[in-house]
Amino acid sequence: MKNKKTHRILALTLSALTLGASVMASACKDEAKTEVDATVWTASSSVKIKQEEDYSSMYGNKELSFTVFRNENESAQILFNPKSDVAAFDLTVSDLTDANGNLLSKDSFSVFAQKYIEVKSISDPKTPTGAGMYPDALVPMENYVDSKENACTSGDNQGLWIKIKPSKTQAAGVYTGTFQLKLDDSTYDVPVKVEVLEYTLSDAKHTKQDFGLAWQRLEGTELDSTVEMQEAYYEFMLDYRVDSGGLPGMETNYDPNSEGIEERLDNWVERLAEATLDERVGFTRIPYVNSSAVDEYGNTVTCVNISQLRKVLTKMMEYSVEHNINLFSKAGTYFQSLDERTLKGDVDDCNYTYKTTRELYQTMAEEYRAEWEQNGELSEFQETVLLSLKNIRDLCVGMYVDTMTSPCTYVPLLTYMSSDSLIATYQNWVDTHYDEGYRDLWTYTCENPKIPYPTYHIEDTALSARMFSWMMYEYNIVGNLLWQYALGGPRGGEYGAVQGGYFQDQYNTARKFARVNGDGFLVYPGREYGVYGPVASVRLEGVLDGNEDFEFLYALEQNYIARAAAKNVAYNDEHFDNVLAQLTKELYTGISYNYTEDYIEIFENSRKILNNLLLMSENCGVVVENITSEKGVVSVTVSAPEATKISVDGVLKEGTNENGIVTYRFQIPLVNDENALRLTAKTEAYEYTVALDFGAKLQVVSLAGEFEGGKVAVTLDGGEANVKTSTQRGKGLELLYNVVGGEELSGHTAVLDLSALNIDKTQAYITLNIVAQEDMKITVAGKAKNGVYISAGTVELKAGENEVKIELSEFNLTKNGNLQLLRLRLADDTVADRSYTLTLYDMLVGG
Amino acid sequence: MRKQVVKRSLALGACAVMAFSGVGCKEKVANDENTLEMFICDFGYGTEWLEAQAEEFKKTDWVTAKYPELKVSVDSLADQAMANSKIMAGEQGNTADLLFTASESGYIYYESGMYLDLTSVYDSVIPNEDVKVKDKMNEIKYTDRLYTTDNGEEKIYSFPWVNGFAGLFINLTAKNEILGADYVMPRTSNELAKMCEDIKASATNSKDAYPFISSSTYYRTLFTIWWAQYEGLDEYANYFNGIADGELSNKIFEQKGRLRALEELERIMGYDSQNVNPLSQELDFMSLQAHFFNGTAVMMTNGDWLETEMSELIKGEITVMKNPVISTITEKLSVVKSEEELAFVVQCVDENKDVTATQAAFNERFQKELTPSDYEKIYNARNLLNSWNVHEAYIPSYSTAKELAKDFLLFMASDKGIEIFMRETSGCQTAFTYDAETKNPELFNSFTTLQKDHVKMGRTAIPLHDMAQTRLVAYGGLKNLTAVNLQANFLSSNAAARKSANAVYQEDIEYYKEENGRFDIMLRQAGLKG
Repeated sequence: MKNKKTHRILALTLSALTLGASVMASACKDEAKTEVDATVWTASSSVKIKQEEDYSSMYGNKELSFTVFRNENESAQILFNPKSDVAAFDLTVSDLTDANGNLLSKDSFSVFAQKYIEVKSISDPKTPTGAGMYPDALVPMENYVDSKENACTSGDNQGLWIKIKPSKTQAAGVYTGTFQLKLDDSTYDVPVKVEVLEYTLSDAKHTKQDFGLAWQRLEGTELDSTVEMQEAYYEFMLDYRVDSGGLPGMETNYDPNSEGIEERLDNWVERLAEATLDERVGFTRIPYVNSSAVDEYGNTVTCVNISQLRKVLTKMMEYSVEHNINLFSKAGTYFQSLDERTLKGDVDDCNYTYKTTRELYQTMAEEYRAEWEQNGELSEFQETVLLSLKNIRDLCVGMYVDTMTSPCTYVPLLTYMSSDSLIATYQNWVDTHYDEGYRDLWTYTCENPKIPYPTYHIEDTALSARMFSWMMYEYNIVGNLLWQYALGGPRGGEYGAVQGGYFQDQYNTARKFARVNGDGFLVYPGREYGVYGPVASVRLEGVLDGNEDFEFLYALEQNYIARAAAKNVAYNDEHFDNVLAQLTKELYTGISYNYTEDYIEIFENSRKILNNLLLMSENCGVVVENITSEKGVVSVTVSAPEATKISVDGVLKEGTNENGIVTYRFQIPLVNDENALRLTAKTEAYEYTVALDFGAKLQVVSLAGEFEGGKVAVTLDGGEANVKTSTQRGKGLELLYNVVGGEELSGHTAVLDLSALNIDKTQAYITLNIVAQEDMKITVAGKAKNGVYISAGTVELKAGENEVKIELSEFNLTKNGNLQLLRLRLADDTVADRSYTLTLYDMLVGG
Repeated sequence: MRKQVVKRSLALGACAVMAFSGVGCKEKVANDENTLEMFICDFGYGTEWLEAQAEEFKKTDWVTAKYPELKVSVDSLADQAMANSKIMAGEQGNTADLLFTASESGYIYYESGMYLDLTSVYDSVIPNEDVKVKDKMNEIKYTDRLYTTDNGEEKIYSFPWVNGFAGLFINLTAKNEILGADYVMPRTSNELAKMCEDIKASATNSKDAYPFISSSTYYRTLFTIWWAQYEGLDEYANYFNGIADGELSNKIFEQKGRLRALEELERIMGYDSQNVNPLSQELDFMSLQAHFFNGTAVMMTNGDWLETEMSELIKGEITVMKNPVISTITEKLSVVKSEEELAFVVQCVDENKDVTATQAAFNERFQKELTPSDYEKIYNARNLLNSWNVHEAYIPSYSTAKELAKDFLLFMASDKGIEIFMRETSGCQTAFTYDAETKNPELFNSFTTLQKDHVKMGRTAIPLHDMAQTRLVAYGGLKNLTAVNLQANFLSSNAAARKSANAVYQEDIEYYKEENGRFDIMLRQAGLKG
């Protein structure tokens, strides 16, 4: 951020002069001191502290604390609420030390003033935090002081955002010290504690973004759209692990006849090479020219100019070969004229465009292959480049539609990926159309979705942006697209005064996109505060935290992959998913956040578990390989090098040693009110403990027993329910569906009346143990007291034993009351003339 | 119309000055518990009715006794978008105690606490009348406004300030000239189709009038009516709650009534019928209305505000028809199976014959027993009226005169308040029961033919559920039809752009099929699942 420093020096000089002036001024008058009585407290970065609300329940938090990996950014807040007006506030940070005398330099910290923006009326009906004055822009404190805005009205909350990034060489340990908050002539000491953990976050990135910024728009917001300013924005966003859409110096959608275009394209290729080699960069956009054509059906369609695209790709290839850099490895396209077409069912243009671009990629790859093969066998590099060329990702913002026939990389709203089957649709699509290594899943947000789905809206929680990355990791999504991140002018609305197409007040216009607060911008123009480049926001900090969390999850999984290789077994990613589910099960359900009262606490606990799992795997070689639950017993498989001591609840454990790797298996029956595994790993140098919580006691219900006892009733159309006893399983409730010739299978329904079992909203699952006579499909639906039947989906039963887990949240018990009826309906449509048998054994309720 | 336009321009201009100069255009009023500030979207019905009601309210005995220092102000904006923006701006945008909106989007604020729960208002007895507010309105009108919160509580936030409706309007002057005064108004959709043929074939159709002229907005008015007639009100309501066969299911899109309604629309108002003036696709709405008023189209689907908006342009006599009963309803009846039988029962309904009298007449004519359920279904179908719940009043939670605002709503529901409304709107009706013909014959006689007929229809009218506030519509995004422009689908002169009724019907079924998960997403967004 070289340019930023220059301007900061100027600003600092100015402020020194100002300070000098104020010292002189104060020397010239009576030394009247302005003491300020204020409540000072601290908070984590997980909560937005609004300016006008009462947070007295948090006033007991006095210590500014961080738990952070090396090279990771973490933030926390110092807040104050003064009893009288404050003319000037500021914060002095100082070095911290640990018990061993190691120093954590104050230069590791950055301090920002929180600037408040008004959400006048909500745009997300389910906002947990409502309208009001939200902290959003984070202005560097020194610039805020220079602007003389560092004042605070009596009774208002004012926050300071403190960010730490320990260097890659910082010694692990617990550092303490004191920062000083100055409110006019009063000074408040704020104790600080930083725990630096023994792991270094890599600069490498395993996510890709396309966060849009039309570089020309900087003319209106920064009054400067030079390449230098574009670079400032580009670099700034890379610090947040975000790829801006398009590289500085080149417009994405260009005019081939514009002055200087050839030079710009050549410069772009050079810049592309830099970006390709930069491990912080995940995605680069290829520029294009809009065009139109007539497709095979006679429709006039919008498309791209193929000859221009070929020209750009040729430049890329020539450079790649000359410099031995694969410029295609991170490259993709985003043809904005095709944005959200599939949402409207409008695919003609998409089909034509993506067909022609894919044909171009294939054709060019074949041409180069033929040319190169004249000189002998292709090198590994050449093969890789050709593969990358063939697999250029054409991002298509919109959801999957049957009528799309041409290959592309869908970028749907997250709400179109809300179930395993929907994600599978997108996965199957990329698997079909791209080679391995290029099968990215992407998603995007904008004004939709709305809370409680992940958003970057102002009236959303601070954690929404962060937890979004957890969801992305869990659902195998690596790409994240945002249409604009520095919107400066109105889109479709009339909020705020506008001049020359740009908002006059960039910092106080929450609805830059008319319908939603915060959509279209995550940064503010730095010009107003003497910052060269953008000013960040609380929401963007959440994006950074999430992007870093993604890397920790990635690193953790890599250790698990390595353990499988060391054990010479095939890696099963479902096992890691099971472990990950342990961390996320309370954070969200599907893609919807669970905004319970203690959701912040739950997140911070999940992050703590992630920290310890990562530390355990990195420093002690301990891998929690799998977590499963069956018949009311949780099984946890752990492996570790033989030198690592494993204990549970303080008791040393033994496992099975194979080639120096010891595997442990723990069983936790869910019979207590609270059930958990407290696992400790210890080596000579390290000791870590992780507590895995498995929830409350599971209620085990013998359906046959309850049926006999009259507590569970069964209604079966054209069939019967009986208790049958098997030597292996004991009593089971047999459902016999009699399908008479000519009848459709799908009409046959068994309804279990479970109303006497008091299954309510406090329970998460019911798990049915079903023995099926043969492979068959059933649909499961539930009906609560005040509702109608709600489907929980179709289940494919295998002949023999099956465990069917049903999420009770599907039935909306919070609103509709206790579960009353469970319906199991034959799902196949075949006509038959015979019986089908399902036998239900224990049902587990709880979780 | 000219007067209205001028007034509107002034209103817009004045408010533009307010918006950009910060200079107030009206006297500043105190924002306290004795001052009732009201803000209204001036869209279709004017604001005179509210101003007149305010004046009368200030003189009403029980009001002056309760509020001796009462002040009332009325503010308005004619531009609907600007008006809605002002309302959506909340406390920062206005200090109104009562907001009169013209928008379907009020529901989005229910969970946020922006509006006051009006349960107590509906449960209150209207002063000097022995009836509760909710009992003075059609039950469907009341229950359609009930909202169930995320916690399962039932509340009601909106208060209807007009009982607007959309329907099939007829230029009686044109019809009488072309078909004769004795021509029987269509009782069924088959008769409507025949009437169109008769209009086209008439030797006295001097203006070559088309049977219909139509805007795209109102084109689908008959779609919802015929659909609801075929399926019945309960099943129609089930669609908007996502319920098919007692279950939240995408099978709602398979309701046969949707297909049958589309088929009738295609048959009677599609391109091949030649019944709809081709200018329908080209002209703006006001020009289309002008054609209707001039008699160059005999019928037009429209809303009851057209007289208030267009009174100076109306040359002939216009009125509204009872909606013809969809002829294919016989598929859902047990005894009435022929067109003749159906028309006969409809005629009996129109003549206010009850079930017993109709049975007797039917049995005599057709020598078979008419079932009460057949009678009821035909009765409901014939009396179905397409009312719109977009004109709603709200008390914002930031109001400083909540009790006063509630009392004004009580006044609006009183006979006095209703009379004022009707007088000032040339006979438009409120959502509250008031038969002007019996209660105030002088007022009734001042009404136009249209409004008189509306009053008469209102005696037996069954409002079609307006489902904008069901969760699936409000939060899930469910529409009655995904097709954006049904008129273009059926009327386009470009054959390649036209779609058949079955194609339109299948589109929704295909769009929401289980595999693509869209219906599941809608349920979750609506908070009905997961």
